[in-house]
Amino acid sequence: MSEQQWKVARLDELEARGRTVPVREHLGIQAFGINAFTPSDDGTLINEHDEAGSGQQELYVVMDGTATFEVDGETFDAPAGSLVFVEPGSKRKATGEGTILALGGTPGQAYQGLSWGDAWQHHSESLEAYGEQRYADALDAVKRGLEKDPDPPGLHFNYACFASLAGEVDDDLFEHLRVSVDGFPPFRQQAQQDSDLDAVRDDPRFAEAIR
Amino acid sequence: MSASVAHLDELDRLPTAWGGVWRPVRRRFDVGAFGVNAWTADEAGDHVIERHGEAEGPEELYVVLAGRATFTLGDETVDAPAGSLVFVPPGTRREAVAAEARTTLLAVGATAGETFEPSPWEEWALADGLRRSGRIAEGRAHLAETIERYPDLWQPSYNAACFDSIAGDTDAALEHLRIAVDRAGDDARRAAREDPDFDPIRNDERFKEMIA
Repeated sequence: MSEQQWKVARLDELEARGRTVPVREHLGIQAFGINAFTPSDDGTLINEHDEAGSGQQELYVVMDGTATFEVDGETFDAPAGSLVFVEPGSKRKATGEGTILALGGTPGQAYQGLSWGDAWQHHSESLEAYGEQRYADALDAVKRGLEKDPDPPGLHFNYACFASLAGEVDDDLFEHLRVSVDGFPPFRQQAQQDSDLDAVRDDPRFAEAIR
Repeated sequence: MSASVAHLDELDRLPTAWGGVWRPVRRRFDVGAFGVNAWTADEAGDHVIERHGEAEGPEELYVVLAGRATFTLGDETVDAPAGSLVFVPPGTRREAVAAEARTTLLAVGATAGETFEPSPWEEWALADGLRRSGRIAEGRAHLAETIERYPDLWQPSYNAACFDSIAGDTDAALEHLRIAVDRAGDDARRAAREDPDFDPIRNDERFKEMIA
């Protein structure tokens, strides 16, 4: 018998972290990923990214307002009530107004959630910069996040990704990669597939770090 | 385009025995990482989620997309207007009744710590829904495929018996029901006793004997 209790919440009443509503963490969901997003000042709802590294499929549900999606260069409007399903390899972003619920999971793998601890703000900031290809800024945000909370494996993994993209290839990069794989073993496989790490994959320190 | 898009209003509508309308989402997009479906109740007072337990297995999250639902979770009743999230761990009995016409929920589910596999339930639910919307030949064809694909399960044969009974083919209904009873025993007998699909053959002595 599970010790979990049922929980009821209103999406617009859950405490947001910046423009992210961490639905999964609020409700204690362990079996799939789910977050909600509200727009940034410039109207970004979903930062540009792909999920090739994680292999995660994502289903976006437009809860209210109207979003404009761009997936692999094609643009379409998605009014409230739209369901948008995106395979891992596709580059996607969404802008507009309202709220988007994002569901995610990787086929063939049991879901494992990442939590960002006290560093969530820096994490959000880093993803925003990453979406705009400002990789040095993304790396700075992660560094500040790690000062605030040195634990989240996701921060260590993103350190390696953003350092790779920013051209800051040094021992620190590989040390963070090693710590991320220690804390969250699925990163081992993700490191081999994530294009963010293409620039460092042939470095002998890479194989060492994900051993 | 590498995204698949559908508006809620465009999803298929498959009626169920208990009043709710199944709007397949997982099948539509071929989602492989978690279960996801929409459910609609057209009238206030209709069930939008059937009473069930999920004794072991999936965590389920219900998202109220439109209208308003009244959930019963264990012994408690919860009012859930549009925008509500209702998270139900395994082991909790739950049901939801529409408090407004045209209430639609999204149900998302998967089992913590396990790789997701689509439930074969979808297959006979699809056949049943096709039958209830008058697409009988399509439903039968799908059921035949399902019987072949899941030779050890009883539900596809049970559902085939329902098709036969409704169509007035008593012999075929009894033959299919026999297979279901052989595989499932009391589960199939109990279901058949209460299932109005078998009303056309209820007085047949062979049927009475089979469900006794």
